[in-house]
Amino acid sequence: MLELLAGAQFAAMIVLLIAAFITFIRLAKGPKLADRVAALDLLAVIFIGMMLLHTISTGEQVYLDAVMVLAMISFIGTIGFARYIIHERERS
Amino acid sequence: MKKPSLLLEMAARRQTPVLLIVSLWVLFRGHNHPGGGFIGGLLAAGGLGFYSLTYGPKATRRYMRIDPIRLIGIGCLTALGAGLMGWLGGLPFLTGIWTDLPLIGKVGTPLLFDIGVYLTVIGAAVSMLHAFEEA
Amino acid sequence: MNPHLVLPLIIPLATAMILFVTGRRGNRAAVIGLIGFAGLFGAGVSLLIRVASSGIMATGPGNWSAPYGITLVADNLSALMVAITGLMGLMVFIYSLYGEMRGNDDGGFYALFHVLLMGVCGAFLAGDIFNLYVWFEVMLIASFVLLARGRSRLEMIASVKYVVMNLVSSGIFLIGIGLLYAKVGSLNMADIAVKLSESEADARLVLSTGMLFLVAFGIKAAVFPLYFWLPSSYHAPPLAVSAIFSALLTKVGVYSLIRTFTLIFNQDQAFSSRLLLVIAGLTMVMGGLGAIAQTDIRRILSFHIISQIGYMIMGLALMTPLGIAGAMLHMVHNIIVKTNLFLISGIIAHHGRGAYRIEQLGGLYRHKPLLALLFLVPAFSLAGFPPLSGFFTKYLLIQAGLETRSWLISGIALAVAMLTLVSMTKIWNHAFWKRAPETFEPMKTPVRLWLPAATLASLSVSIGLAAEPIFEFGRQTAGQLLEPEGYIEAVLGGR
Repeated sequence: MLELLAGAQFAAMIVLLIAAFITFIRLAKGPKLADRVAALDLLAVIFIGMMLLHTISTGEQVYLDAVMVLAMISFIGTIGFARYIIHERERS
Repeated sequence: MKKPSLLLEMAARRQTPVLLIVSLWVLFRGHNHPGGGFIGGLLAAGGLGFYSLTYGPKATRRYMRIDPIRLIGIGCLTALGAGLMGWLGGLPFLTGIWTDLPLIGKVGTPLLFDIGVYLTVIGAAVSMLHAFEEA
Repeated sequence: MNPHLVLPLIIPLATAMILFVTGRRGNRAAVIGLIGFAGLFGAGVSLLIRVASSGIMATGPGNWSAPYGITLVADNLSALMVAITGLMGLMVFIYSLYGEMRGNDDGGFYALFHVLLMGVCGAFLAGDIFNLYVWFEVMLIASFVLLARGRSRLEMIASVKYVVMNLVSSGIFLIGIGLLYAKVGSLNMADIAVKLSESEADARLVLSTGMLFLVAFGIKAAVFPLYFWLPSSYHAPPLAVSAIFSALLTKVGVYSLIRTFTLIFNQDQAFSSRLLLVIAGLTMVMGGLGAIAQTDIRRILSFHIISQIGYMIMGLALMTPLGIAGAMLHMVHNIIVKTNLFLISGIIAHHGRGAYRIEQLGGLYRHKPLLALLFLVPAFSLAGFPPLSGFFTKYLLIQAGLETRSWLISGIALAVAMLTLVSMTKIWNHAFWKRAPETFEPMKTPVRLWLPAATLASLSVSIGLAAEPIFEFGRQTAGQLLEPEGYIEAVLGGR
């Protein structure tokens, strides 16, 4: 049983790492600001997943707070960017 | 300002109170766990910032029922008062005094100090955000 | 626990915050602000009296004892500076009640003014080098907002220069603190002094850190060759702001230099003294020459700040009791006189319909003889005429120079006094002596403007007349600074 859990954790971490890598490519390539913003938002979600995995595998609970806070406020930045993009579009 | 999208509006109306409550929880847990006035204040300011992104600075000030700049003053005075309390008890300025209350647990002047920091951070962060929004 | 050390910090903070709560403009704010400054001045004077009568005081807020918690210390120098800060705050505040002198009311001038003075008092009282840095930052933030408040183009250019230079200074200061902490493992200045004197560390290695501090404080104090930001930023803001800046901000830099170079970096005195002497001489000369070339009254006065800073550094560089006493007293004299000159230049511009360029002024001697007299007192005092305060402090400094056979620096000091007089004559000739411009029409000077100026002028005269007891106090202070055992014991040896 424990074996299985450890294996699942390992596999999940690999998947998240690949996801993060792909998202970084999107972040670097763009081509528009909106793509980059969406990539940043996705990165936050991926990091939340990583922190949760870390919590499960070590039993260290301090990261749970960070996870919760990050989950609640990471989208505010995205909204700010969205407003900025709309604003720019209206001006031009 | 333009009417925001329905999704955003509903999210802001629900999310801001949640963030405020969580910020209070982080604040009160601060004295012997991760947390405290500063991070709590930032969380609350995050919630209020979300609100003002959605509804605009004016509506946010109405929602807060207080001018954020005034909040800076109240916060600093609270913190100062916490420092003075130890002083009036004959101890050096800023010395912490603790008591155990039933049900609530450990409370003392450092908690009051933290509340002051909390209010100051909210006031400062929100008024800065509003200065940018209104510029 | 004694309240004298904490009150100079609590009073301005509380006043500023009460202003934030009750509203930052209007008559009520002015009254609250005035009460706050009266309280600060009172606290400063009582601190000075206490320290003068019962020696150095130290306290650790939060009940953490000395090398671990932060410490507030007041020796003669700190106490005197706090008292004079309170006085300047009060005077410039009264002056700033006349709206034209503080610019527009938006942005909470009164509250920021208090925050600024809290930073200054904190820097004078800090017994911990990191704490000193924090107070520097408090000062920097408040002064930046005060400078940029008007949002005009001129003010923005000035504040960018000011902020960039001061941020560089803070950065260097912070690096210095880091290196010092890595070497010694303590941030408390008295503790650092003890550990450095016990350790076998190479004096040059310690001094290399000292040079970082020299650069950092040198930027704040505007010494050669780091002074260029000062004349290009002090002429921009409303007059009350430039007056308080010129009174206190550079002096905090000089104070920090005196404090660190007498307490911490006193191993290789021969080297640092030679270096400081060169800096002092060049600062004096450049400031004096710069003043002659200017035609805006505020720019002339800004260059004078620089040349006078040179005199203070000279006193520090000589490292003799007489030199240190001279440096300290010159600092006090300069705060009073320089602020006074700025205040009077505001009155001159008030009569000249807001003009600060000397070509556009004139006729004030004929129409305003009392103002002319009021100008002559600080102008002569700055140039060093007996029996005013400037004569007495310059005499001490030059005598200290002659005693240590530093002929060159003494000669420079004398020559720069002449340069100062020349540029003062220029203001006099244009603003007072020359015929009034066609548009001039005489008007009354408001009490709020002349009262602080007259008070400071009479203070300058009385310092010159009461030189004997003040000199005694100066010598006592120099003793405290040159033999820091008393300071160290007050900080580390229990409360």
